[in-house]
Amino acid sequence: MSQEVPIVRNVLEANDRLSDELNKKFRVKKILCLNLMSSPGAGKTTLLERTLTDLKDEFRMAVIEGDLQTDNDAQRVAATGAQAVQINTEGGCHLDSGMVMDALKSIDTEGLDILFVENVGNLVCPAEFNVGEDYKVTLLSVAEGDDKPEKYPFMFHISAVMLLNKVDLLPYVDFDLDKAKAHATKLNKDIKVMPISARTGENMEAWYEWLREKRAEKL
Amino acid sequence: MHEMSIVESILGILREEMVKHDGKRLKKVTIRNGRLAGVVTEALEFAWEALIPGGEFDGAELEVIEVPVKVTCGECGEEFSPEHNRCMPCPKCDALLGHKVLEGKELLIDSIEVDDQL
Repeated sequence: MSQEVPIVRNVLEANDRLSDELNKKFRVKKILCLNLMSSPGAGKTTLLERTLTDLKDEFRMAVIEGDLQTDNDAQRVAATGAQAVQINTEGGCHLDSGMVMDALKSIDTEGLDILFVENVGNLVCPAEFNVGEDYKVTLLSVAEGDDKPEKYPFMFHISAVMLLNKVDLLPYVDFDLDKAKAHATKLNKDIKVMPISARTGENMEAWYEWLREKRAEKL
Repeated sequence: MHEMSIVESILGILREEMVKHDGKRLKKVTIRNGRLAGVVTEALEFAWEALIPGGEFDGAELEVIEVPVKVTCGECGEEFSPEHNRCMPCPKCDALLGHKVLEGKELLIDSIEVDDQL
Protein backbone atom coordinates (compact mmCIF):
# COMPACT_ATOMS: atom_id res chain seq x y z
CA MET A 1 0.00 0.00 0.00
CA SER A 2 1.26 3.44 -0.74
CA GLN A 3 0.89 6.48 1.49
CA GLU A 4 1.80 10.12 1.37
CA VAL A 5 3.84 11.39 4.29
CA PRO A 6 4.29 15.10 5.04
CA ILE A 7 7.93 15.81 5.95
CA VAL A 8 8.70 19.54 5.75
CA ARG A 9 12.44 19.44 6.33
CA ASN A 10 14.98 21.98 5.21
CA VAL A 11 17.14 20.43 2.50
CA LEU A 12 20.27 22.16 3.77
CA GLU A 13 19.63 21.27 7.39
CA ALA A 14 22.58 18.88 7.60
CA ASN A 15 24.96 21.62 6.47
CA ASP A 16 23.33 24.20 8.73
CA ARG A 17 23.64 21.88 11.71
CA LEU A 18 27.36 21.37 11.11
CA SER A 19 27.77 25.08 10.53
CA ASP A 20 26.16 25.86 13.90
CA GLU A 21 28.44 23.33 15.55
CA LEU A 22 31.52 24.92 14.01
CA ASN A 23 30.30 28.39 14.94
CA LYS A 24 29.84 27.31 18.56
CA LYS A 25 33.35 25.90 18.62
CA PHE A 26 34.76 29.17 17.27
CA ARG A 27 32.82 31.11 19.91
CA VAL A 28 34.20 28.98 22.75
CA LYS A 29 37.74 29.25 21.41
CA LYS A 30 37.28 32.97 20.64
CA ILE A 31 38.32 32.51 17.01
CA LEU A 32 37.04 34.97 14.43
CA CYS A 33 36.11 32.94 11.34
CA LEU A 34 35.67 34.61 7.96
CA ASN A 35 34.33 33.05 4.77
CA LEU A 36 36.22 34.73 1.94
CA MET A 37 34.46 34.54 -1.42
CA SER A 38 35.04 35.92 -4.91
CA SER A 39 35.27 34.92 -8.54
CA PRO A 40 38.51 33.22 -9.65
CA GLY A 41 41.37 35.68 -10.01
CA ALA A 42 39.89 38.51 -7.91
CA GLY A 43 42.88 38.29 -5.58
CA LYS A 44 41.81 36.30 -2.50
CA THR A 45 45.18 34.62 -2.07
CA THR A 46 47.12 37.85 -2.58
CA LEU A 47 44.87 39.54 -0.01
CA LEU A 48 45.58 36.75 2.44
CA GLU A 49 49.33 36.77 1.77
CA ARG A 50 49.55 40.46 2.60
CA THR A 51 47.16 40.29 5.56
CA LEU A 52 48.97 37.32 7.09
CA THR A 53 52.33 39.05 6.64
CA ASP A 54 51.29 42.50 7.88
CA LEU A 55 49.40 41.27 10.95
CA LYS A 56 51.83 38.47 11.80
CA ASP A 57 52.89 40.03 15.10
CA GLU A 58 49.36 40.95 16.09
CA PHE A 59 47.34 37.77 15.53
CA ARG A 60 47.73 34.04 15.21
CA MET A 61 46.02 33.18 11.94
CA ALA A 62 45.27 30.10 9.87
CA VAL A 63 43.77 29.48 6.45
CA ILE A 64 41.62 26.72 5.02
CA GLU A 65 42.06 26.82 1.26
CA GLY A 66 39.39 25.53 -1.07
CA ASP A 67 40.22 24.81 -4.69
CA LEU A 68 39.05 22.40 -7.34
CA GLN A 69 42.62 21.17 -7.91
CA THR A 70 46.25 21.83 -6.80
CA ASP A 71 47.67 23.15 -3.55
CA ASN A 72 49.30 26.20 -5.16
CA ASP A 73 47.39 28.67 -3.00
CA ALA A 74 48.01 26.76 0.22
CA GLN A 75 51.72 26.85 -0.55
CA ARG A 76 51.63 30.60 -1.13
CA VAL A 77 49.78 31.12 2.14
CA ALA A 78 52.05 28.75 4.07
CA ALA A 79 55.08 30.71 2.85
CA THR A 80 53.94 33.60 5.09
CA GLY A 81 54.39 31.34 8.11
CA ALA A 82 50.66 30.89 8.80
CA GLN A 83 49.08 27.45 9.11
CA ALA A 84 47.41 26.42 5.87
CA VAL A 85 45.31 23.39 4.98
CA GLN A 86 44.18 22.57 1.47
CA ILE A 87 40.80 21.14 0.52
CA ASN A 88 40.49 19.92 -3.05
CA THR A 89 36.85 19.72 -3.99
CA GLU A 90 37.61 17.67 -7.14
CA GLY A 91 35.21 19.69 -9.24
CA GLY A 92 32.85 20.81 -6.46
CA CYS A 93 31.91 24.47 -6.82
CA HIS A 94 31.86 25.45 -3.13
CA LEU A 95 32.99 24.42 0.34
CA ASP A 96 30.53 23.07 2.88
CA SER A 97 30.68 22.72 6.65
CA GLY A 98 31.62 19.04 6.55
CA MET A 99 34.72 19.80 4.50
CA VAL A 100 35.73 22.63 6.84
CA MET A 101 35.19 20.40 9.87
CA ASP A 102 37.50 17.78 8.37
CA ALA A 103 40.15 20.33 7.45
CA LEU A 104 40.02 21.80 10.93
CA LYS A 105 41.40 18.54 12.32
CA SER A 106 44.73 19.42 10.73
CA ILE A 107 44.88 22.87 12.32
CA ASP A 108 46.18 23.67 15.77
CA THR A 109 43.40 25.92 17.06
CA GLU A 110 44.99 26.59 20.45
CA GLY A 111 45.50 30.32 20.75
CA LEU A 112 44.27 30.91 17.22
CA ASP A 113 42.78 34.39 16.70
CA ILE A 114 41.54 34.42 13.12
CA LEU A 115 40.61 31.61 10.73
CA PHE A 116 40.14 32.47 7.07
CA VAL A 117 38.20 30.07 4.89
CA GLU A 118 39.17 30.84 1.31
CA ASN A 119 36.23 29.52 -0.65
CA VAL A 120 36.27 28.16 -4.19
CA GLY A 121 36.41 30.97 -6.77
CA ASN A 122 32.77 31.36 -7.81
CA LEU A 123 30.23 34.12 -7.23
CA VAL A 124 27.22 31.80 -7.07
CA CYS A 125 27.29 28.58 -5.04
CA PRO A 126 29.57 29.47 -2.09
CA ALA A 127 26.93 31.97 -0.97
CA GLU A 128 24.43 29.15 -0.36
CA PHE A 129 26.46 27.10 2.12
CA ASN A 130 27.45 28.37 5.56
CA VAL A 131 30.76 27.08 6.88
CA GLY A 132 30.50 28.14 10.53
CA GLU A 133 31.74 31.64 9.79
CA ASP A 134 31.06 34.82 11.76
CA TYR A 135 31.02 36.92 8.60
CA LYS A 136 31.07 36.49 4.86
CA VAL A 137 33.50 38.73 3.01
CA THR A 138 33.24 39.17 -0.75
CA LEU A 139 36.15 40.34 -2.82
CA LEU A 140 35.42 41.99 -6.16
CA SER A 141 38.25 43.22 -8.37
CA VAL A 142 37.88 46.29 -10.53
CA ALA A 143 38.98 44.25 -13.56
CA GLU A 144 35.71 42.32 -13.41
CA GLY A 145 33.14 45.01 -14.06
CA ASP A 146 31.04 47.20 -11.78
CA ASP A 147 27.82 45.33 -12.54
CA LYS A 148 28.81 42.20 -10.60
CA PRO A 149 26.70 43.00 -7.50
CA GLU A 150 23.73 43.47 -9.79
CA LYS A 151 24.39 40.19 -11.60
CA TYR A 152 25.21 38.05 -8.57
CA PRO A 153 22.94 39.63 -5.96
CA PHE A 154 22.77 36.91 -3.34
CA MET A 155 26.48 36.92 -2.51
CA PHE A 156 26.51 40.67 -1.94
CA HIS A 157 23.21 40.52 -0.10
CA ILE A 158 24.65 38.26 2.61
CA SER A 159 28.19 39.64 2.89
CA ALA A 160 29.25 41.95 5.70
CA VAL A 161 32.08 43.39 3.63
CA MET A 162 32.74 44.01 -0.04
CA LEU A 163 36.44 44.53 -0.70
CA LEU A 164 36.99 46.26 -4.04
CA ASN A 165 40.42 44.97 -4.96
CA LYS A 166 43.01 46.04 -7.56
CA VAL A 167 42.14 49.75 -7.35
CA ASP A 168 45.66 50.39 -8.71
CA LEU A 169 44.20 49.26 -12.06
CA LEU A 170 41.42 51.87 -12.06
CA PRO A 171 43.13 54.12 -14.66
CA TYR A 172 43.16 51.21 -17.11
CA VAL A 173 39.67 49.75 -16.73
CA ASP A 174 36.12 51.02 -17.03
CA PHE A 175 35.03 50.48 -13.48
CA ASP A 176 32.78 52.91 -11.67
CA LEU A 177 33.43 52.58 -7.92
CA ASP A 178 30.32 54.57 -7.02
CA LYS A 179 28.13 52.44 -9.26
CA ALA A 180 29.42 49.19 -7.79
CA LYS A 181 28.96 50.60 -4.31
CA ALA A 182 25.43 51.82 -5.08
CA HIS A 183 24.41 48.40 -6.43
CA ALA A 184 25.83 46.59 -3.42
CA THR A 185 24.18 48.98 -0.96
CA LYS A 186 20.88 48.57 -2.72
CA LEU A 187 21.09 44.83 -2.03
CA ASN A 188 22.41 45.22 1.49
CA LYS A 189 22.28 48.57 3.20
CA ASP A 190 24.74 47.49 5.92
CA ILE A 191 27.50 46.20 3.65
CA LYS A 192 30.91 47.81 4.30
CA VAL A 193 32.63 48.74 1.06
CA MET A 194 36.43 49.06 1.14
CA PRO A 195 38.42 49.89 -2.00
CA ILE A 196 41.90 48.33 -1.64
CA SER A 197 44.85 47.02 -3.55
CA ALA A 198 46.23 43.86 -2.00
CA ARG A 199 49.14 44.05 -4.45
CA THR A 200 50.34 47.58 -3.64
CA GLY A 201 48.99 47.67 -0.09
CA GLU A 202 46.77 50.69 -0.75
CA ASN A 203 44.13 51.25 1.92
CA MET A 204 44.75 47.86 3.55
CA GLU A 205 44.66 49.58 6.93
CA ALA A 206 40.87 50.00 6.64
CA TRP A 207 40.53 46.22 6.26
CA TYR A 208 42.90 45.58 9.16
CA GLU A 209 40.92 47.95 11.36
CA TRP A 210 37.74 46.00 10.56
CA LEU A 211 39.51 42.74 11.42
CA ARG A 212 40.75 44.16 14.72
CA GLU A 213 37.29 45.41 15.61
CA LYS A 214 35.54 42.12 14.80
CA ARG A 215 38.21 40.07 16.53
CA ALA A 216 37.87 42.25 19.66
CA GLU A 217 34.11 41.65 19.64
CA LYS A 218 34.73 37.91 19.98
CA LEU A 219 36.66 38.27 23.23
CA MET B 1 26.02 23.47 -10.28
CA HIS B 2 25.49 23.09 -6.54
CA GLU B 3 22.19 21.35 -7.32
CA MET B 4 24.21 18.12 -7.40
CA SER B 5 25.19 18.46 -3.74
CA ILE B 6 21.68 19.63 -2.93
CA VAL B 7 20.29 16.38 -4.33
CA GLU B 8 22.87 14.52 -2.20
CA SER B 9 21.47 16.35 0.86
CA ILE B 10 17.93 15.44 -0.20
CA LEU B 11 18.92 11.77 -0.50
CA GLY B 12 20.39 11.84 3.02
CA ILE B 13 17.09 13.12 4.44
CA LEU B 14 15.06 10.64 2.34
CA ARG B 15 17.06 7.72 3.72
CA GLU B 16 16.25 8.83 7.28
CA GLU B 17 12.59 9.34 6.49
CA MET B 18 12.25 5.97 4.77
CA VAL B 19 13.47 4.24 7.91
CA LYS B 20 11.25 6.40 10.10
CA HIS B 21 8.11 5.58 8.09
CA ASP B 22 9.05 1.99 7.37
CA GLY B 23 8.84 2.56 3.61
CA LYS B 24 10.16 -0.07 1.24
CA ARG B 25 9.98 1.90 -1.95
CA LEU B 26 9.99 5.63 -2.58
CA LYS B 27 7.43 6.59 -5.21
CA LYS B 28 7.66 10.33 -5.16
CA VAL B 29 9.20 13.26 -3.34
CA THR B 30 7.83 16.80 -3.40
CA ILE B 31 10.19 19.75 -2.93
CA ARG B 32 9.23 23.37 -2.32
CA ASN B 33 11.77 25.60 -4.03
CA GLY B 34 11.57 29.31 -3.17
CA ARG B 35 12.39 31.70 -5.99
CA LEU B 36 15.06 33.28 -3.78
CA ALA B 37 16.62 29.99 -2.66
CA GLY B 38 19.22 30.14 -5.41
CA VAL B 39 18.32 26.71 -6.74
CA VAL B 40 17.42 26.20 -10.37
CA THR B 41 14.51 23.79 -10.76
CA GLU B 42 15.75 22.43 -14.11
CA ALA B 43 19.23 21.83 -12.70
CA LEU B 44 17.70 20.09 -9.68
CA GLU B 45 15.67 17.82 -11.96
CA PHE B 46 18.74 17.16 -14.07
CA ALA B 47 20.80 16.22 -11.01
CA TRP B 48 17.98 13.97 -9.81
CA GLU B 49 17.85 12.16 -13.17
CA ALA B 50 21.61 11.74 -13.07
CA LEU B 51 21.87 10.40 -9.52
CA ILE B 52 18.76 8.26 -9.05
CA PRO B 53 18.91 5.45 -11.65
CA GLY B 54 20.37 2.18 -10.38
CA GLY B 55 20.23 3.23 -6.72
CA GLU B 56 17.84 2.59 -3.86
CA PHE B 57 15.38 5.23 -5.10
CA ASP B 58 15.41 4.09 -8.73
CA GLY B 59 12.14 5.05 -10.43
CA ALA B 60 11.11 7.62 -7.84
CA GLU B 61 9.52 10.77 -9.18
CA LEU B 62 10.65 14.27 -8.22
CA GLU B 63 8.10 17.05 -8.11
CA VAL B 64 9.34 20.60 -7.61
CA ILE B 65 6.87 23.30 -6.58
CA GLU B 66 8.25 26.78 -7.15
CA VAL B 67 7.28 29.15 -4.36
CA PRO B 68 6.86 32.81 -5.36
CA VAL B 69 8.40 35.61 -3.33
CA LYS B 70 6.29 37.41 -0.73
CA VAL B 71 7.63 40.33 1.31
CA THR B 72 6.47 42.99 3.74
CA CYS B 73 7.59 46.52 2.96
CA GLY B 74 10.24 47.86 5.34
CA GLU B 75 8.64 51.31 5.30
CA CYS B 76 4.87 50.93 5.37
CA GLY B 77 4.36 47.24 6.17
CA GLU B 78 2.43 46.48 2.98
CA GLU B 79 2.52 42.79 2.03
CA PHE B 80 3.20 42.16 -1.65
CA SER B 81 4.61 39.76 -4.23
CA PRO B 82 7.25 41.61 -6.25
CA GLU B 83 7.39 41.22 -9.99
CA HIS B 84 11.19 40.88 -10.01
CA ASN B 85 13.46 39.13 -7.55
CA ARG B 86 15.99 41.93 -7.55
CA CYS B 87 14.19 45.23 -7.67
CA MET B 88 11.17 45.26 -5.38
CA PRO B 89 9.41 48.63 -5.24
CA CYS B 90 6.51 48.67 -2.78
CA PRO B 91 3.22 49.15 -4.67
CA LYS B 92 1.92 51.38 -1.89
CA CYS B 93 4.85 53.67 -0.95
CA ASP B 94 7.55 52.93 -3.58
CA ALA B 95 10.16 52.00 -0.96
CA LEU B 96 12.94 49.80 -2.37
CA LEU B 97 14.90 48.79 0.71
CA GLY B 98 14.47 47.01 3.99
CA HIS B 99 11.73 44.57 2.97
CA LYS B 100 11.33 41.45 5.03
CA VAL B 101 11.06 38.22 3.06
CA LEU B 102 8.06 36.17 4.22
CA GLU B 103 8.18 33.46 1.60
CA GLY B 104 10.42 32.45 -1.26
CA LYS B 105 13.72 31.74 0.49
CA GLU B 106 12.85 28.21 1.52
CA LEU B 107 14.12 24.95 0.11
CA LEU B 108 12.10 22.22 1.79
CA ILE B 109 11.22 18.60 1.36
CA ASP B 110 7.47 18.92 1.59
CA SER B 111 6.26 15.33 1.47
CA ILE B 112 7.09 11.86 0.23
CA GLU B 113 4.97 9.06 -1.17
CA VAL B 114 6.11 5.64 -0.03
CA ASP B 115 5.11 2.04 -0.70
CA ASP B 116 5.33 -0.57 2.01
CA GLN B 117 6.22 -3.16 -0.64
CA LEU B 118 9.07 -3.34 -3.11
